[in-house]
Parts: sequence; C-alpha cells; structure tokens
Amino acid sequence: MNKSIRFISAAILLLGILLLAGNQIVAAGKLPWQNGIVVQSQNASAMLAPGNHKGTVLPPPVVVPPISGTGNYSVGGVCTVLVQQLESDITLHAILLPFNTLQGKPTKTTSYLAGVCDLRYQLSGKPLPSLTSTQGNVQICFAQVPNTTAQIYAFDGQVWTALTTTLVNGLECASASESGKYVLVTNP
Amino acid sequence: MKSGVVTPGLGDEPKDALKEILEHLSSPAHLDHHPWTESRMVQAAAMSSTGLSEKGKGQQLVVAIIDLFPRMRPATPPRQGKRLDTRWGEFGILAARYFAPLVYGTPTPSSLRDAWGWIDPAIQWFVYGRSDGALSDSEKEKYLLVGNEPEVAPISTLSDWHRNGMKRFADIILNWETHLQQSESDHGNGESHPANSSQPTRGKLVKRIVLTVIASLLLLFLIFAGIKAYRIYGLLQRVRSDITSLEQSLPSTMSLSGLRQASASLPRLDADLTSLKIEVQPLIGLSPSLRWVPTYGGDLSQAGNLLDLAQHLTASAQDANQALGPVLESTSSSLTNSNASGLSGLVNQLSSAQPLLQQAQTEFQQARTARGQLDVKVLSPSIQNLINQKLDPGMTWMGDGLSLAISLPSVLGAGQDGPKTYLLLVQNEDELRPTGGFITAVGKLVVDHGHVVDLSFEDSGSLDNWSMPYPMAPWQLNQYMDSPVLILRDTNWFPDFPTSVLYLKELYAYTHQNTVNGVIAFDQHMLIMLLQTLGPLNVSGVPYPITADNVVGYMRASKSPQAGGQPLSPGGDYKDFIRTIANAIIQKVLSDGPSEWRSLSQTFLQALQERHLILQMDNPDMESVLARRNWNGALYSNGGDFLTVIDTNVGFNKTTAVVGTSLAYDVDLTNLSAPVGNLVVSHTNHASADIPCAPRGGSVDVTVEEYYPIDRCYWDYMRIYAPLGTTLISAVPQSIPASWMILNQPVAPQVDVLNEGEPGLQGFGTMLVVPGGQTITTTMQFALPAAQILMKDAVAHTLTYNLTIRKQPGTVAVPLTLRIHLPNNVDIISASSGGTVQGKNLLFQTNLNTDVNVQVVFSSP
Repeated sequence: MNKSIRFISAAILLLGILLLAGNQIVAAGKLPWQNGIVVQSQNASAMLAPGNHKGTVLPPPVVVPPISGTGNYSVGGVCTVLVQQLESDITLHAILLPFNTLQGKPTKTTSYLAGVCDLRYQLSGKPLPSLTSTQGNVQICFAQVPNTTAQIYAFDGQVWTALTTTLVNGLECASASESGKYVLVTNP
Repeated sequence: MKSGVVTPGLGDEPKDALKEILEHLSSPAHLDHHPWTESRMVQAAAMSSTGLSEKGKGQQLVVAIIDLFPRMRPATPPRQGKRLDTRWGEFGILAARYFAPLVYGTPTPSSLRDAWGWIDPAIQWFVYGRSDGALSDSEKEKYLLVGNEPEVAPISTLSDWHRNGMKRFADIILNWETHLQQSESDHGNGESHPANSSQPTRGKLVKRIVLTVIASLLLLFLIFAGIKAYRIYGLLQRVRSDITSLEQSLPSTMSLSGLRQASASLPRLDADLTSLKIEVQPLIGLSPSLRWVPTYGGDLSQAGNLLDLAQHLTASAQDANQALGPVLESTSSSLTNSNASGLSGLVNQLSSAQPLLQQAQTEFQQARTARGQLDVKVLSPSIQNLINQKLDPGMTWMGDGLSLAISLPSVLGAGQDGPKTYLLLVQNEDELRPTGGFITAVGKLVVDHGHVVDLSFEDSGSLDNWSMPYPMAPWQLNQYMDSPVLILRDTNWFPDFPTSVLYLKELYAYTHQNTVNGVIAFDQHMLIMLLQTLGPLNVSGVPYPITADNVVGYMRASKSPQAGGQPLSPGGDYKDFIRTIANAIIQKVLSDGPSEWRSLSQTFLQALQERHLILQMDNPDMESVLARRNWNGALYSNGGDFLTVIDTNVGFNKTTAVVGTSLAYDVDLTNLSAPVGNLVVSHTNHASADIPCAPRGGSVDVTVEEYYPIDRCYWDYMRIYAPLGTTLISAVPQSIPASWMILNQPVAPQVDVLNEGEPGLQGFGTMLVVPGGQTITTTMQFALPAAQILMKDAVAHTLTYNLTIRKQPGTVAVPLTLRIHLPNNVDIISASSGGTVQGKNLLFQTNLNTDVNVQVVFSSP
C-alpha cells in the first residue's frame, strides 16, 4: 500500500515538473493530475450566458432594444444605462456579453466584478464612436461590490480607458459617451 | 619610636627642641615661637585646661610638657642595690633640675651636681604630692634613690642620666603626639579636629549617642511597621470576607433576592477597599521592588494594579447596581402587578439611568485598564485562579451588560436619533443556506421608544428592482442554479453574515428608501423555541392554537394551496402567516410584559448561541457586544485549528428537511511538523428512493415545485473552511452526470479551492447531489499548518492544540465524531471534558448544537 502511494506520488511529482517546465499550467480549470482539485475564483468561470434562464432568477434581457430616448435601461440586470439626454437621430444599442469576448484586462492586477456591457452609438443608422456633449448625456452604472474599491473601464477595441467613477447610493457610475465595452473591475 | 625620627609637628631633632623648652620652663614667653607650640599635644592641652587657650603659645607648651612629664616616672619603685636605678635616676634628675622647682616650688639647682641633693625630694613630690616631713619613713624608704649614697655621683653619671632622661622624655612626647594623630585618623576625618581628637572619651560618647538614636529609630520603625501590617492584614481579611460573601451570593443572581444580597455587599466592599488603599498608599511605591519576597512577592509587586482593579470594578458595580436596581425591582414587582409598563417602561427607565450607567462604564474602563496592566503570571496561584476563572469571565459579562444597558434605549428608538428600523430576515432551513436558510421573506420592524410602530413582511421574490444593476452572482450560483446575478433572496450565500448583510442592505435599498439600522435573521427553529417558552398562540385565521409542535408543519402547509385536503389560503399566504405569527408573538411578549422577559431572554440567548438567531446592529456598542459573543454570525478564525462545513441547498427545493448530515474529523498529530486533518461528511437523503434527480425545469412538474418540494434529490454545494495555510492533499468528491444539473453540464469529481477572503481561513468547495434513499460520503484530507494550530510553551515544554468546529446556522445538532491522534512519545497533560482517552488518542462524540471547542495540552516530545 505504502509503496503504491509513494509510486503514485512520485509519478505525480514528475508529471507536475514536466508540465511546469512546459508552461502548460493554467490559473483555472480542472487539472487532471490534481486529484480533482480546482482553483476557483469569481472571474474564472462566471460568464453570463445570454438567453433563457432555467433558474428562478430572471433578469432583464441581455439585448436591449435600441434606445432612443431618456430613461433607465437595465442590460441583463448587470449594468444600467442612464440616458439623461440623447439627440433624436442617435440610437444606443446595449448588449450584455460574456467575459470571454474580452481580450485581457485593463491591468494585470485587476479582476472583473461584473459583466461586460457593450454600448454602441449610431447616428442615423451609422456607427458613432463617441457622443459630444450636445449629442447626449449617458451614464453607465454597476452595483457596488461590498468591501471592494472598484472602477469602471471602457475598451474601444484597442485601448482600455479608466473612467472617473463615482459611488452614489450603492451604484458605481461613470460617463458612457464612447462606443465600446464597459466593465467594472477592482481598482488596483 | 626613636628620637631623631621625623614626627609630624615636632621637627627632626625632638631632644634639642625639648632641651630648649626645659631651659625656659620658667619663662614661657621665650617659647611662643617654638615649633612645638603647633603640636597636637599643645592643642589638646589648651582644650582640656580651662583658660589655657587664652594664654600665650609658650605657656600652653609649658603646661603640655608639665602634664606629660609624670608619664616618665617608672611604674615600680626604685630598685635597691649596689647600683642606682638609672630609670629613676633619669626621672629624678629632670624632676629635680626642671619640673619640681616649677611645679612644687623647690629650689632651682644651678647645675647637675647641685641637683643631686634635690633628686629624692623631687621624686617624693611627684610620687606622693608632698615631701619629707609629710611622709612616713616607710614612704620615704620606698622611693629613696640617692639618699644613702656616700657622695655625689660622678658628673659623667649625672650627664648620662640627664641626656638619657631627655631622650626618654622626648620619646614619650613623640609617642603621645603620634597617638593623638592616630586617634584623628581613626575617626575617619581627614581634616584636623584637634578638639575631638584630643578627647577620645567624648568621641565615644558621641558614637554611643548616635548608635542609641539609630537603634531607637529602628525600634520605632518596627513598631510602626508592625501596627501598619496589623491594620493592613485586618483590612485584607475584611476585603476577603466581603468578596467571599459577594461570591456566595453571585450564583443566585438570576433571582432578585440574590441580586439584592450581592448589591448589599457592594458598599461595604467599596468602603473596605478604600480604607485598604489609604492604608497602603504610602507603601505602594515600594511594591514593585518586593518581587523577591517568597510566596507573596508576586502579589506584593502587583498590589497597586490589584487594588486599582478591585476598586474601579467595585465602583462600577455600585453605579451599575444603583442604575439598574430600579429596573430589576420593577420587573420583579410586575410579576404581581398588572400595571406593568412593558418594554417602553423598561426603555424609559434605562434612559433615565444613562448618566449613572455612563459613570459605571467609565469606572469599568479604568478597571479594564488596571486589568491590562496586571501581570497575572507572577501572582500566587490562588489569585491567578480567581482572576482567570472568575474575574475575567465576570468582567466580560459585566462589560457586555453595561454596553447593552447603555445602547438599548437607542436601539429601541429612544435615543436622540429617533425611531429605528430593522430588517427581519425570515430564513427557512428546509432549504439550507449558509446563514440559516433560504430567505423567504423580509420584514420591516420600526420601533419608537420601545413601541412597535410598524411591522410588515414582504415575500423575498417581490424585492427585486430590475431597473437597477445587480452584482454578479458567485460562480457556483451561476453554474449550479443558473443565476447570473445576485439578487436579494440569495444574499445569504456568504457564510459570513456581516458580508451577507452588506449585500442585503444594498439590494433592499433598490426597493425601499428607508434607512436600515440593523438586521435580525432567524429560522423556523427560532419560532419553535419561542413557542416552547410562550406556549400556544391563537393566530388569526388559524382554527387551532399554534404550538411548538405544529408550527413548522403549519408553515410548510401554508406554502401549499392545500393542507389536510382543505384550502388554507388561495395563492399561498406564507408571508401572511409569518406576519401574523410574528405579530402574535410580539403582542404576546408586550402584553405579558416583564413577567416573561426572564424566560424569553434565556430563550433568545440560547437561540443566539445556537445561531437560530443572528443579529447585526449599526449601533457600535451593541455591535461590539455581538461580535465579542459571536452572535453576529461572522466567520473568522482567531487562532488554532478551525473547521466548519457549510451546506448550501442549490436544488430549488426544501429537501434539507429530510437530509441527515454527520461529520467525522480525524486530526492526525503524530507527525507534529506535518499535521493532517481527515474529514468525512455524510449526507443521507431520506426522500423517496425512486424520485429522479431531475433539475428544476426538467421532468418534474413545475407547479408542484412551487409549493413545498421536500421529496426530492438533494443538490448541495458544500464548503469547508479550515485555517489559512491549509492545503488539500486528496479528496473523494462526487461525479455528477449532466442530466442532474440545471445547465445540463456534468460536474467532475472536483474540490474547488476557494478565494473568498474570509479572515484567517481557507475555503474548499464541492458539488454533490444526493438521490433519495442514498448516502453520499465525501472525504477530504488536508495538510494543516503546524505553526498555526499548535502552540508551543517553551518554558513548560508543552504543546497546546485548540480546535474550533463552528456550527452552521440553520442546522440543529449535526452529529460529530472527533478523533485527535497524538505522537506515542508524549503525555497528555489536560484535555477538554467530554472526551475519551484511548492511549495517545482522544475521542469526542458530540453534536453541533453550538460551536465545539476542544483543547488538548500535551508534553513536548
């Protein structure tokens, strides 16, 4: 019995060393040589799955009908778009996306605290990269995560931009005048 | 000493100096500048002869020489024989030639030869003080030197006598001078004090007086110390007696008579302590230096802190007694008084007592400071025992009691900040969740000056506001319950209740604008406990009394449109029932008044201990008490080994009601540098064996699930928390097929290493599904952090292992088997009660109706 345990342990150790050398270890997910041990963190596997939910939690749809007027619009229950002013020829298209649609994170040390809210502006049906102050006034808000300092970042497809984020009444809010993906992350 | 030898003050040639003196004895003025006038013998003579000091220096010198001359006289009479006794000859020639003429008035010889005839008379004068006619023949014969000689001795003989006599007299003078000098040195005085030096008898007298004074002072001190010690001893005995009588009355403090008796002894104790402190105050400064005293040195060295502690504590108790006495009296009198003022009366009385309570707390803080400064380790065993076993626990209760008494008016809406609003979290442990159970309803309780001004309940499903953003759900809820975001009814996902409360308050604010001052969470078992205390209750709309035995059955039935074949309330009125029964309980408590408070408070205390009731208060004083008592549901480790198993029913059902859970934990300490924990958790589902494990939305009729689904498979996400630094060695988790899971994805047999940030803890999690009629056993083996779980005492050469096994709220009494295996080469010194020692192993068979704390002390190998 002891011999077999030692043999298995040695084999595991050897395999581990080989794989480490091969840089094949990943931060999350099941590693077959770890005897079923999986390191889990919030942002590792939590992906918002658009579509019908079988559970009892039934948030608003992840795809919001085109927004063309003032009001508060929930995007899959994860972020809320507060439209305070919008020119009549401008529409806002909001979708909740899973995390795997993102390439990397704003910084190496941050972790996602909520889903990816994708906001796209259109002017007369054509993509509009950003709003001017006369074209509209839009904010995006996420729920505060207790005991955490957070910040909203925007990703335009190439660059992450840290947005001035205010915490009011449990909501983390920032101006959302750019077309792009918005996320709430821990502030490094 | 030989003449010619240098002698301080007398020059190099004493014989010549003496000769000069002798030749001028009759004319002292010639000697005023003689070097010997500064000698000690002259100074001594001047001091001892009255008026001499006022005379000339030469006169003083002559007197000194005359005083010394008799010392030259031989001690025995002259030898009679053929040859003359030269010693008497030397004395006689000087006496006849110089001293007798001056002292006794005999004629002054002109030469040595002339002096021959005056030798015998001079000797008689110096021996008897008289001469010739005044002496008998025998007297004359005895000291006759030259009288029988036929003729005058040769001049050479007389010169020898004169020269040698001068020399011998000079030696005598020098010896005396040396003696005086030594006497001064013996007195240890470097300065010259001729007066004292010349008076040896006077010096001795002074010395004697000084010694007598010192001895007298010492005697007085001893008498004083004796009296002081007697008085202190007497006061100590009185204080000890006071404490003993107080101690004897304390066990019955739950009765008013016991409190009265204890209270009565406080003023006496305070007075005796004050007297004792006054008595010992002058000596307190010395106490730290008395550590060396055998047996009681430690106590003496800590006397100051001990006295401060005792006095502030007594003063605090007196103030508290004065403040709370009327409250206790009123609760007692209301047992027979129908005009009880109830909770509002209590609040008013406590509000009035605030100044005294604040004073009591100030004194208590000072007592706590004194306790902090006390070095208990140096105290005698009996005092150590008193402090560790009685005082410290008592002080904890006293501090908490004062904090509660001070904060209670504010908590009950009688403070300056007005009415208070509390959320009532109704948890259903049939669907077990980390803090007690699924949140079925949330109530709002508003109190103002002890009056309930608002009590309402809402179904937890109606507390969502989807126009607002929600936090991302923990990944387990997302994966196993298909819940992408965290909504209010799932906020107690977090085993740490304060964390759950943060989410709860945040999400409650999405639908309510009111301020929330605290959260009161309870489960169904809490209702059972309350009804056991209060007795049957008549609840509006229920045709029979609600009792501890039927309340849970009734609550389960109220979720269904049919109970016993008869419709209760179409559409289900669970929250209505909760509101109704809560109202009935509150009204019962308020109407019964203080008469039920004692038994009710015991029930609440038990519920808090067993975590069927968890409290969170914004009031800082109250919150600190809750935290100290671990009544706030916080999950943390404060050292030592730790274990808690947290089950979360993620199956959308109430199957926990029929699931039996048991724990077996083996702690292997045989290798002290690499301790191992082996955990075995068994879940037995007593539901029907043939029920399929179809997840929600699967083949089971959804309409049935809306009611009260118990007869189901048990979907459980189980979390285990162990000390930070613990690592998983191996595990036997469950493999779950895709068809059993809501997202139709299989769950591999895995243990998740969690990163939840609980203070001092490491979490592990695993998913399991227990089909009806089956038992799923999950085993995990942990490598425990040796440095954290074993405490070494290098002085006593012992190791201490402390283990806390925390009870999950909502559970009743999960069976627990605990085994601790020690190395073969150690001896068990002490262990917590309730265990069985089997060699080097300890076995505890118990249950988790409260937290279990185990301590084992064993010798260091």
